[in-house]
Amino acid sequence: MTTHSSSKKTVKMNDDGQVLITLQGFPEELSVKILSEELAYNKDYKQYKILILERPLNSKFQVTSAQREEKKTKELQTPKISVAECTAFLKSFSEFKTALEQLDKNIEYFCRHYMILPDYLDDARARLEDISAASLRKMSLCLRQPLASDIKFIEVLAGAIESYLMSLVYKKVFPVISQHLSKEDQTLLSKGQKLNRVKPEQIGVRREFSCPLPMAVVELANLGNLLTPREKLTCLKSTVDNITEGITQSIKGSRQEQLAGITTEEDEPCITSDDLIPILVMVIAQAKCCHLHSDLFYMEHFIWESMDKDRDDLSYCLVTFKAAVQYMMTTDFSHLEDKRKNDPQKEISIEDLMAATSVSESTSHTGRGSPRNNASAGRLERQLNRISGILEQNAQEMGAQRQQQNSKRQIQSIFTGRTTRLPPPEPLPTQRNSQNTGENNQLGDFLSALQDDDFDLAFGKQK
Amino acid sequence: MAAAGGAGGGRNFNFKVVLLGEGCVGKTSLVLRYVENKFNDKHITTLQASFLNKKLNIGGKRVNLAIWDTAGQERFHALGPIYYRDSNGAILVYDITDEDSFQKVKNWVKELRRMLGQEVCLCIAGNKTDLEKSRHVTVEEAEAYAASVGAKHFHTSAKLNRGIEELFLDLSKSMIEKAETTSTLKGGRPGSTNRKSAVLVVDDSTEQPPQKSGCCG
Repeated sequence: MTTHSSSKKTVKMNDDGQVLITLQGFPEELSVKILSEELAYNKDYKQYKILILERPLNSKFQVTSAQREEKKTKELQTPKISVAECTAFLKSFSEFKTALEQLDKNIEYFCRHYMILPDYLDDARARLEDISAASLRKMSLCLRQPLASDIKFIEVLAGAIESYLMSLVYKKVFPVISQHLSKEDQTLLSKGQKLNRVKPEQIGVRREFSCPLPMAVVELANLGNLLTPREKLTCLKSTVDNITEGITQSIKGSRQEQLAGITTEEDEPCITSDDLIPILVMVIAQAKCCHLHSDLFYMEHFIWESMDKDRDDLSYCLVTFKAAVQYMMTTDFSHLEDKRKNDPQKEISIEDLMAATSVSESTSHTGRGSPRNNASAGRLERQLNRISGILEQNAQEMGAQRQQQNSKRQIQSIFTGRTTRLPPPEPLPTQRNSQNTGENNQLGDFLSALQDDDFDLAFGKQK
Repeated sequence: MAAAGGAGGGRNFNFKVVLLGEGCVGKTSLVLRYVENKFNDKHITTLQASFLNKKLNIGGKRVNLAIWDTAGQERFHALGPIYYRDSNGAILVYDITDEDSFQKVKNWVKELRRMLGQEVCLCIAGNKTDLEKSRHVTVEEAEAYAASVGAKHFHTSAKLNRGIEELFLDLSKSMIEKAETTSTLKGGRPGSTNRKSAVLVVDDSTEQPPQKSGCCG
């Protein structure tokens, strides 16, 4: 227990260092949770720490009704990712009506009269950026204070305009990019197919991180269905998050099985960039994205409204994907493949999977006396192993289906495309949302089969 | 964008720092030790060590360090530039008991200087000073080398938590200094637009730290 006092006020920090308790000089005794700390230095570079508390130490500084309004502002300051969100956000401001109409006109003009040439994609980008910036200027002028000078809000607005715009020009822009990079896309896809016959350890995945990562694969497999660069970028991020989550669960599971009771916190393994690259290579190979190269190019070149560009975690994910893709493209894996030729893949149908998971469900429920956690963690592993085979098959089918879709897309007129545009797919910020993508995604069935199963629960809640 | 424009008062800086070093030199432990936060931070799982954030406040200037672990294995050598593009600072870690790891640091310094020029602030960390007895890289050699390439040298021990805060503080100071001179000379770093700079000036006055939820991780 530590006590701190200043000008007749004393607080103490409880033993686990998570809570501050008021002692002297306060109207009542309060215990306030510490959320985080910041390392600070004064002008002489003497160190001190800033603690961020859950609420003020004196209850007279509670949230007032005026500040509650700020919650609304908070909402306005939250970045909008999916196309639906962005559109709804822009339309929720009546003052933007004319600006939006103008934006629609500009987009239509662009789609009708601008010819995108594969070698001049930069020019296309510059034009789109101009349209977006003009729109932002116009909308900012319509805003009243305090929103007009709220930079966080302006940032969100700029992002929403960008996504709205990109969703509408996607069908014009993306085919040109994928045409431009078709060779690379093809090479990557075929490299991935070969790698599917290789064990993760063979391409340098550390043994403890080598486990099936169905959630990450499913997440990444959806990349091609997303329209805006931002949605796609978010998809990369949640793929990486799902990898971390999947590996965490797998390690927990195997630890609990092997060393029941022994804590080995000291040598907790960490996923570094060196580890992440080969893991991503495996996930990319399994997800069978037909246009990953083009997608990365699209994300890199068609996001312009971001203050933290090249700095934040999203950029880190983009860079890591680029690194993994470059590694795949420049590395010869053919010697690995040969070793596994005599080891044919076991493929299981969805029916088999469903049967298998339900069998293990019943065994886990009737499990004798073993702690629940152990049972489910072990079971989780078994399920993951079974699923990996199925996933392989499914992704293959989906890849073929998407290729069909894409070829259709290219011959479709942009404008009919626009008017009959289906509601855009939901964003995929978390793996749980990925279950809602449904309809035209064959993996939807696969996931819904797992919905009532606590396999999904183990991923979502055990954090 | 690294530096926020605007005169006087507190400023916000968002720096990208890349971490370079061979696998076994302890660079991950070093950075994990630094960003360690005993308060719950739901965004950082203990397992993830490839991208980390640290918030600092230096004499009223708010600094966010985005620390990127760079693939250091030999087979990923060609991927380096993808990672360190646009970085403001680099921390090059070697193991004082491993001469070879110090040679690697020299190679990286050359490469960074070639690719990023003098724009990037370099810090070299001789890690594992707890194993002083088995030292294979002499203090004199390391410090002389660092001075010759315009880098600062630090003696660190991730195990004993020595020298790490000093290293990051010093690096942050250099990066602030560099960003401030750059913004005076050129009115912003290359790639930054007026909108961004203008925007951040306002941010300083409207920023309300108590409401910060510690997100953006």
